[in-house]
This record gives sequence, C-alpha cells and structure tokens, in this order.
Amino acid sequence: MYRYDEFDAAFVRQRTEQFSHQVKRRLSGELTEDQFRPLRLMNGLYLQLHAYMLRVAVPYGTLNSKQMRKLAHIARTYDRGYGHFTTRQNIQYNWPKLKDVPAILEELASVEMHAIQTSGNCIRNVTTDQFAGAAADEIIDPRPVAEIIRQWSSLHPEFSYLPRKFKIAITGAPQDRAAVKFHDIGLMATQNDAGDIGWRVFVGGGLGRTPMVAKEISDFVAHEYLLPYLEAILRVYNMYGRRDNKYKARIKILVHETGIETIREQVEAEFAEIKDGVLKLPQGELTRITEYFAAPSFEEQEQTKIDIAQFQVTDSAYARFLQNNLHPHSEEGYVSLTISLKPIGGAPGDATDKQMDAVADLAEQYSFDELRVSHEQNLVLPHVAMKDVRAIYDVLVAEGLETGNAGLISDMIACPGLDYCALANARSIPVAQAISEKFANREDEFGELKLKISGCINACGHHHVGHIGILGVEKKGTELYQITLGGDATEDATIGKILGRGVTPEEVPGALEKLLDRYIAERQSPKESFLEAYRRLGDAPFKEALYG
Amino acid sequence: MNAITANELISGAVVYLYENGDFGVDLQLAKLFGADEQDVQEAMLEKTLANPRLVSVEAISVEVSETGTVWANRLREQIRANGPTVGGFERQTLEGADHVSL
Ligand code: HEM
Ligand code: SF4
Repeated sequence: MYRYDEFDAAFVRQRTEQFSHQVKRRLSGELTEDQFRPLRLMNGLYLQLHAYMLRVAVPYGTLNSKQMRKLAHIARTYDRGYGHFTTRQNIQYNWPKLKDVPAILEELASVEMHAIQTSGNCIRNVTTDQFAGAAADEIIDPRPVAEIIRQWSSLHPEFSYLPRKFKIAITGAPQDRAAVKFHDIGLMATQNDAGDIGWRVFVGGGLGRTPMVAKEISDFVAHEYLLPYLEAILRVYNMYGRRDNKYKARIKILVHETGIETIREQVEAEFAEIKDGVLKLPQGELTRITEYFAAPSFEEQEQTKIDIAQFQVTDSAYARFLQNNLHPHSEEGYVSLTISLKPIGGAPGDATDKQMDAVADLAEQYSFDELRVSHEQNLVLPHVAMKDVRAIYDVLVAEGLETGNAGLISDMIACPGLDYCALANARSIPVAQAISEKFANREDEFGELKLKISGCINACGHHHVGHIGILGVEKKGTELYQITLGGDATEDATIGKILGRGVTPEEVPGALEKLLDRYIAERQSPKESFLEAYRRLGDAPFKEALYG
Repeated sequence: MNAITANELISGAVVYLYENGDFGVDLQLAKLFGADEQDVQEAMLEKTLANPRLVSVEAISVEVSETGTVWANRLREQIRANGPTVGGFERQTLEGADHVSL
C-alpha cells in the first residue's frame, strides 16, 4: 500500500491545524457562517438535517487494518457507534459535533487519512474497482496510477475552483466494476497493437439531473503521458465549462454542447503544448509508486477449488455465501471475498464500530492487511486463501456480516435520502429495507440484479444505472417513487428509462414484485438475467405488468 | 401557522425559537406565528439570522391538531422534528453546546 511521504504528512497535519483554528474562530464568532461554510466544506464537513456529516476519503477504496480500526474508534468515540460507507468509496459519519471535528481530523491524520477534497468544486477522491490488484481479469493494477492522480490532483492550484466538482474513476480490467463511464473522466486499461498497456480515456459522463454516458476522447494514452493528458482536459474544462448555471456546469454539459470532436481538438492542442513538460511521468517514478502496491507474498496453495455443492444441503447459507460473495483472483488458490453491508432489512452501507474492528482483524489475519471499500457499499478482503474462507465466514456470522447476497437484489445501493440528507425529496433507506425484506426468500430466483435508489435527482444512489432504479420525488408534499429500468453501470453503459407514473412508498415492493414476476415468466432460461431480458423485450411487457 | 427553526452551530442539532426567546429542540414549545403576524415573524427571523450560533435558519409551515400537538407540514420538517424514521436513532441533543437565545 502507498505510504504518505513527508510532503503528504506535513500537508495533512498543516491542514488539520488550520481547520482547528478556523473552527475556534467560528465558535468565537470571529467568522460568520457564510465565511466558514466553504472552509468546512473543503474539509468534508456538511450540515445535514439533524447534525453535521463528516465525509472521509478512502483513496481508491483501499484501507489497511490500522486505518479501519481508526474509523471504528472515531465512530465509537465521536459518533454513534457506526459509519456509513458510500458509493464514492468514502465513509460518512452522521452525528459528529463541530467542536469534535478537529480532534477527529487529527485522529485521521495519524493513520494517513483525511477529509480534504471530499466536497467543493475540485477533483474528488479517485475511485476504482474494488478488486483492483487482485482480480483474475485485470490487465493492470490501476492503483499506482490512481495514487499518481491523487498526488497530482491534491491541492492542484489551478484546479481548486473548477466550474463544478470533478470525479475521476479508473479500472484496470475490461469488466468495468467502477462505473467509469459515469464519471467526469473515466480511465480504462487497454493494450495497443504493440502490446503496450495504456489508457482509454472517457470524458463527460455523469449522473444527476442530466445523466450522460461518457464519450471516448482517446483510445490510447501511454502511462507517461497520462497526467499531461488529464491536465489538458481539466484546462479545457476550466476555461470553457459554464460558470453561469450550476446545473450546466459539469463537464458532461460542456462535452454535450460543444461536441466530443471539438473538445478532442482543444484537448489535443493543449496536450501538445504540455506533453513533454513537468507532468510527463518518468518510468522510474511510476516504478517507485508501483512498488508500494507490489503483490503480497502469496503462498502456494494446496486447495485450489471450493466445492460448493457439498454444502448445499448441509449448510445452505454458507453455500450461498460461497456462490455469491467470492470473486476470482489472479493467484491460484486465492479469492477476493465480499463482506456485504446489506443485511436483510438493514440500512445499506452501514457498519458498526465493532464490525469495523472485526473486519480489520480479518484483514490482518487473512488478507495481508488489505481491505477495500466498494462503490456498491460493501467491504472486500481482496486476497484470501481458499482454505481460510470457512474461518472467515464463521467470524462474519458472529458479527452479523455473513449475508451471502453480493450481486443480488438486496445488495442494493441506496443514498441516505430524506432521513438524513438536506437536499432529499424522499426517503431511500426505508424503501430499501422494505424491498430487501420483501424478496429475502426469492432473490436467488432473480439472479444478478442491480437495484439502485436515490432520494432526489442528484442521483447519489446511482438510480439511473440500476437494472432497476428508484428515484424519490416529492409531489404535493408526499413521497412518490419513479421506477426506471434497463440502466447499466458497466462497460456497456446505459441510462435507465422511466417506466411510467410514480408509486407511493407502500406500493414500491409490490410494484417490483410485478416487474420481477413478469421477468421470470418471460425469461428464456434462468441464465437470462433481468437486464438481458429487458434488453430483448423492451419496456412494453413491464409497463403492462405494472400499470395493466 | 409558522415556526422558526435552525440548526445549532456546535451540536448541529435542530432547534426552534420558543416563546421566551430561547432556542430548544422541542417543536411543541415553538413560538407560532399566525397569518396575521407576518411582521413579527419577519422581525424574529431577521434576529435569528443575525445570531452567529444558528445556521440554516428558516420559517416553516406548521399546524396545530385538535389535541394541541404541533405538526410540521412537510415530511422533511417532520423528520427534522422527530429524527430519522429508521435505525432507532435519537435526535441530536444540545449537549456540549451552551444556552442559545435571541
Ligand atoms: C450531505 C449529503 C450529500 C450531498 C449534499 C450531496 C450532493 C450531491 C449533489 C448536489 C450532486 C449532483 C451533482 C451534479 O449533478 O452536479 C451529487 C451527486 C452524487 N453524489 Fe452526492 N451528496 C450527498 C451524499 C452522497 C452520498 C452519501 C453519496 C454516496 C453514497 C454520494 C455520491 C454521489 C454520486 C455518486 C453522485 C452522482 C455522480 C455525479 O456526480 O454525477 N453523495 N451529490
Ligand atoms: S441523491 Fe439526493 S437525497 Fe440522496 S444523498 Fe444525494 S442529494 Fe441526498
């Protein structure tokens, strides 16, 4: 894992001290709220409905056990004994008090973590595949490049006041698990004809009120030119992105209004100027950073297969866990193991301090001290020997973390919604819980299904790209939920289509049941997933099922 | 009818302006402004806005039931007044924050 160098450490310490002074000045009345708000937001501190919310970055979703224990400690000491893992591979605390925030930031700094650039019109936390550095299908581990992007984008003086927030996602595998085409910039590893590995660059993707699939701006950028290329994109955006209207300020609108060809010309022109300047990355530097992410010392494993069938009768919950929560690893005898934060009827993404501690212990004991946070709001032990899976499972059972539902309907993404969020129009969590309970006994039958729920059009819960998406709106003072179908966050990126008029909160589970029953009735075989069936059939049968 | 609400600076807790000029967490004790009290409401709102200990200041629409219970009209405000509807979490208290009044 990357370790802070002296520059990083000094900078985070300095920033923590600075914020601590700013809080003091705010508390003494020296700073007004108008002056203080941008300062606290720059440090990840929001005000929600009931209290402040602190958003802590987990760079490219990677944590070690010491950091996870610190997150647990903060939850226990300064919050209410839990934290919320988000689709942005961050963790959010929902109840910190302003006077405690400087102390929390100090605690975080002691384990090389912070909340900087988790808000505001800057380049946000870089996100990636939760199986990065472990997945069998990976072309290259994206984390060294993600780390380089983190260093480049942290406090970048030119890009601290962009027209709007800017999100970059990166994947090293052809199977996109990081939704790169729904980010301002998406990077996807590729190999050119000469056999060199580099990056396909996508630009102008996003969700929110105008969802867009990113367009390819370059089919190959070599590692050494990646930063100048990104810098060129950011410069073009900084120059031409709209600042007159917040709703039109994201780069997706610029790309849409200007056209990808023109943007490409502008970027290429800028790139030509700076290509061989200071941002060109010497191979030595890439190698140096890559060494931090060297594969752990895997051992040769006797056990190279897990026979799921033998547990199907004796221990069906375990069989289900094996079936759904293990992901193929590049190393023989190893797997990546998903720890679901979606117990049936729970709040998606929440983990208690005790659970975080237990997961930290597991990472230390069984996964070379490595942990990941997934954009699907789960935790991952990336490098687990097959022989250890049972022992891990037993600990998960003791901690209430054993739900074997990864990739199924109850493994949904849901934003905090109106129970917490000041921008919300409707609640997300109770809807998520009702759906999870309703289908608890049927979800295996439905197979792979991505359900995503947002409490307003900002789309933090990715509803546009759910196979089934649910968007909460407010109509005449009450909550109403719009259902979209056919969204897909992977390399086949698709934005879902609204099916028809919205339904009340109570009607949501029943509405989904009608849609899913229709899917079961229409599918060609159990192998045809909901999304495939929808793509084949279009929305007519589903409309009929729901609205008659 | 309207009430005046805000979040207290130090705790972040949801508070309401009471009859006596104090701010506290109980909507039932909130000072209510009738349709004919627009001027008083505006003056109080202005004073609240000027108080550095209060953020996200707003006038919200409420109703009083037959039994005398004060109800916020929007769901958002009901949730602010009662806490999250899931998870069994109590609302934030003013603990750690000093007394705050107009
Ligand atoms: C205080 C709570 C939050 C606030 C104020 C907030 C605000 C926003 C806003 C205003 C947007 C729309 C941006 C645009 O279209 O230009 C947005 C998008 C988004 N937010 Fe949040 N959000 C909050 C919580 C969260 C949480 C909990 C998550 C993760 C679960 C999250 C992840 C995202 C994502 C993934 C998007 C859409 C991607 C995009 O930027 O296009 N946000 N958020
Ligand atoms: S989608 Fe809306 S309700 Fe949900 S967290 Fe984002 S801003 Fe809040």
